[in-house]
Amino acid sequence: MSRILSEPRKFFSGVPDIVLLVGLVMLLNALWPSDPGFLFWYGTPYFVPALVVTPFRRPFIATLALLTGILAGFLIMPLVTNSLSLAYGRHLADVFRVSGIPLAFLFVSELFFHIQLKNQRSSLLGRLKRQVKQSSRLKRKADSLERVNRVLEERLVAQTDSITLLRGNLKKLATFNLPQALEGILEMLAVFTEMSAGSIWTYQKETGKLLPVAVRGERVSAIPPEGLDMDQTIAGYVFRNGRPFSLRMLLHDQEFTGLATMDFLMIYPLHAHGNVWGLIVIERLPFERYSYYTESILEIIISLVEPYLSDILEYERLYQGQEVDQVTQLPLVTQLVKNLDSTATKDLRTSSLALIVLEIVNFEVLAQRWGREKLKKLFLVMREKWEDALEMKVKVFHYKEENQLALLVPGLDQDGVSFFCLRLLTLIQEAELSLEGEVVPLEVIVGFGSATGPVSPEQLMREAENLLEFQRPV
Amino acid sequence: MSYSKEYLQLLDSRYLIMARTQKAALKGIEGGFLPEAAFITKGINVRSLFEEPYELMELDRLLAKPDMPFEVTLRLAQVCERLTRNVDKELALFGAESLNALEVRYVQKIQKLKKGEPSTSARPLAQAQLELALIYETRPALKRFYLAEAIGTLQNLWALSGRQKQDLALWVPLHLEAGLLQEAESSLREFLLETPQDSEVYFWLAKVKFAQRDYLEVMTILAFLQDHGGNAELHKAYRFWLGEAPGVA
Repeated sequence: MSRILSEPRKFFSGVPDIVLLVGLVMLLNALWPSDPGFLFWYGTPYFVPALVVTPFRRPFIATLALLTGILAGFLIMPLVTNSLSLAYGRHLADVFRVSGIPLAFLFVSELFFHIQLKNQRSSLLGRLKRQVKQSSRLKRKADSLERVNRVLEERLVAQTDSITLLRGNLKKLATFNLPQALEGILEMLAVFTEMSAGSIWTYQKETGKLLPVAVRGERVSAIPPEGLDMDQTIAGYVFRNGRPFSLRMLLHDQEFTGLATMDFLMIYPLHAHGNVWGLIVIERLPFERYSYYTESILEIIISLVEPYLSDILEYERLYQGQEVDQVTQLPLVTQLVKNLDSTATKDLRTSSLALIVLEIVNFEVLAQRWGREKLKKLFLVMREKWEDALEMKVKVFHYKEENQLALLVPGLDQDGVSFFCLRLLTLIQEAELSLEGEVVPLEVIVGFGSATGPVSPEQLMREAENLLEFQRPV
Repeated sequence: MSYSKEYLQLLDSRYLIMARTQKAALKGIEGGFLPEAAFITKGINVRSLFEEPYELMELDRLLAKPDMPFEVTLRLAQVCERLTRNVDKELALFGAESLNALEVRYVQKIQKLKKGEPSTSARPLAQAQLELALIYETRPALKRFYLAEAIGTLQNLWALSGRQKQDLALWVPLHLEAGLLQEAESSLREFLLETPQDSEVYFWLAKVKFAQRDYLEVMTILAFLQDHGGNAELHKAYRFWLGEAPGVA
């Protein structure tokens, strides 16, 4: 850009250039001393410097070149050659009469041409300057936008407490694995409160103490191995009363006087089925994060995890009921009936429930090849695949026959359960379950029953069995 | 890549092409073939790094940026660290390689700064050492090493040009991370001997006292800051500690 804007080399701009040009003509004239000023030529060369200069330089310089040429040719040269006389003057007048007007025209035309050229050049330069300014403004604008984009990206990328992240973390809790879910809760707390140490505690009936069931980060204070006392500690107080504790309460509340804090910053009760099941303990936080925000986010998270925790604990209770299959450790059909009974009385008033029964039609044939136990263990692999792929909580039970599995899925209506079954069959197909390195050619049929509102377990089971009956090969 | 609703709607109704790169998206917008959202979708990552499933392309793109702010670098390192534990070996390898690339970048930066003039390069050096220590969160030995290095760097600088209050923003976090709470407190007390009313020094002291679990002292400092130039956030913190309801002025 600077090269374009820099001035080109100037020709014929000063008196020395003009003198040089005119001097050349004078030298030429010296070859014809008898004709000073080239009067015998009707186009005297003394006009040439002016004509050469005019297109390139300002009118003033052009006029100066013209006058210098006239002065040099028709005054200095005759004086130098001693030819200045009346006759010379008359001859000069004759010559001007003949060639003066054309030369004047030529000179004026050149002047106009030059002025036009100059105008064009200045207008071009003006446009160029405007373009340069505009482009520089645009560049500044683009740079600012780039910076804004960058900041926006940095904020979005580095955010740890967005609603989508919360949803993602909650989805991870849709499992029936209690330790995994508790770990998930602590991870969620670490992300949203920035706690660097925290734990989840529950009451142990056997010892009558509170014990940690999930821990994250480095423990702040030494905890007695037998656990925390229910009467002598703030944690015990929180568990008994279901009231949250935050250390700032120590500074102005009297109710915690005499109880051991164990250096815990916050203790919040964790509910399941409406009762206190455990405690969330925040042990270490950055100074700035000990705030209203953290307290409220903690309450939000606790209320969000409650339904997940309730389901997991209910499922855990089923396992503890001892009515499980010896091979798969999955609950038996008696547990399913009990569960259906309790669900029908509790939840069906507000939401729908679906019972899905899966049957491996060629179970007997496959059992001859791989054995019944190995085949039954495939049910566990299936359950793992569903848990990974489906974003729904599914309770799995053995059904009446050895080759049947029952799934209890809440929140699905008639259409929902049809699609769910299709998805289930697709997952089984895609999983290509194998035993001893060989894919097991499972032939699976599905029956289901769904209900919204009070319905007897028998009715649901009958619906599912009827559908199975239709599909069985004759 | 997650597309915005607006972008998808526009693609669905009027636009038939989808830009593959940022540059192509920009050209498409210039030519009127694509909506502005196309550039936002291609040009910047519009989701958190932590969101699963992880976007490897986005991780790779961010990793290629040499001048990311520390906040983003730390998040990236945390995601890569998680990826190293993935059951998919290829993903785990990607995570490990990315983590290694970040670490190498920091180590090279530290080595370059170490060759510089101590009076000018000591602060950036200590900052880089602190950042690398935080990246090494899951490797305590390396974390401790770089924290000690950073503390040494600041001590050398102070020996050379005297103790500066501006270094507290590095000095205190370094000691908090290293667990050297007593040392941090004694340096702050020395600062307070020189400038007894300095609210900034008191703020750092409150942080240290909170880590030491001396909550009464924290309250006292917050009360002091209430009257001696603490900012609005600290005033809010004081009200919180007093047990006032949020929003009460």
